[in-house]
Amino acid sequence: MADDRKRLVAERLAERRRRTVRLRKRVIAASASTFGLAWAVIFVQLVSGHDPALAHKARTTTTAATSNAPASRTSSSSASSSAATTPVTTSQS
Amino acid sequence: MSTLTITGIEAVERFPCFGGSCAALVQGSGPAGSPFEAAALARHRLEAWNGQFSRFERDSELSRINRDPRETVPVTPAMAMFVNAALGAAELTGGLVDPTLTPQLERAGYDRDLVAEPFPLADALKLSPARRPAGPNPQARWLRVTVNAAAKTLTRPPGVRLDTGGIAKGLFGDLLAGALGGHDAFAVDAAGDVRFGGRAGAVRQIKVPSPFGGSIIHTFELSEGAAATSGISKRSWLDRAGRPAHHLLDPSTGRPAFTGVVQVTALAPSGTEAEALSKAALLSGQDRAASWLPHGGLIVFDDGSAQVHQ
Repeated sequence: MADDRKRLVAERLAERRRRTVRLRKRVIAASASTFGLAWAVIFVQLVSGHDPALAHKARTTTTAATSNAPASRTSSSSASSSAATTPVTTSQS
Repeated sequence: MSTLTITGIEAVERFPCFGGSCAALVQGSGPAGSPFEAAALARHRLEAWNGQFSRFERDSELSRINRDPRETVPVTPAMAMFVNAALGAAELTGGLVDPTLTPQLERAGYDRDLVAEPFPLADALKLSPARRPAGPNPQARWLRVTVNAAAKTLTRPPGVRLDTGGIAKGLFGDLLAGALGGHDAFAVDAAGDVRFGGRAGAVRQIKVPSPFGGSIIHTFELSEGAAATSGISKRSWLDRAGRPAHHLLDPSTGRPAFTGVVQVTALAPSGTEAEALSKAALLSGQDRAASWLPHGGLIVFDDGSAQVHQ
């Protein structure tokens, strides 16, 4: 009788350990997947030229510049990120 | 170990200036600081020069000089540089680009910043006189204008008033190129006059719009230099007599020039030279315009046809 109880306890403990290991593996896998996905999204965003930090800086500059300009005037600042230069237009001066 | 490096950040400042739209574009840090700081520097300088050289601002240095009855007047170093550049353009073009035509410009109706829509080019060409090449003013008053850079003085005959024309914009691009040339890439658009370059030697597209509607008719791809465009469609109006007018005068008559050429884009190593060449090409007429484009450019004729010179 006592042996049966000991075996039962041991089985339950073993099952709990297996369950703990299983849950731990799932948590690690989910964390790694989430991190990898987030890293990939940010990587693609930066490489494609849409760094939010730079965009924020540009908006700040625009606000400051506009506030100093006459009301009838408009101006803007921005940042573009690409390997090539931004095209410009020569027009009648 | 790998390092992720993101290059090619181009700071862009766009703002109204010189009666049009200006821009400063800078890639990479350099002597003028970060790309943003460098672009802001270019903007501040252009805005300051705009106030200093405007013919339409009563308190500008140019207006004060033009009002001053003295034959010799003190000038700032920047004004001395401009007058030297304008005289250089007049000499280069044999007087076709003449900075002393201010009274004639005012008589033609260009006595204030033009804010109204331009008179349509196609209509202006129907109403305009017979085509003929422009010529220099036989009086050549610009020959009697001198600058003493050491003494910072300008001497000109009484009554001679100067106009900055496009030469000033070309000069400003050249001056900014000195400040921005140490950055990876830069471009300064002074209301249509473009100066570009940079230590990386990056190629930049320079687009040329049509004078008949604004669509892009050609794109140059260059890494360094300047492009200036002169034309008769942007600043055009009907004068008091109902005649079509614009701001590019034939120095020999003091009247708006109708030469058979409506727009010229000139490429050159410097903005000052590009500006002088584009004006001279337009004023010279359709047979001789191309001879003013030794570095390349684009000519648009009355009928809308265009010639590219590489």
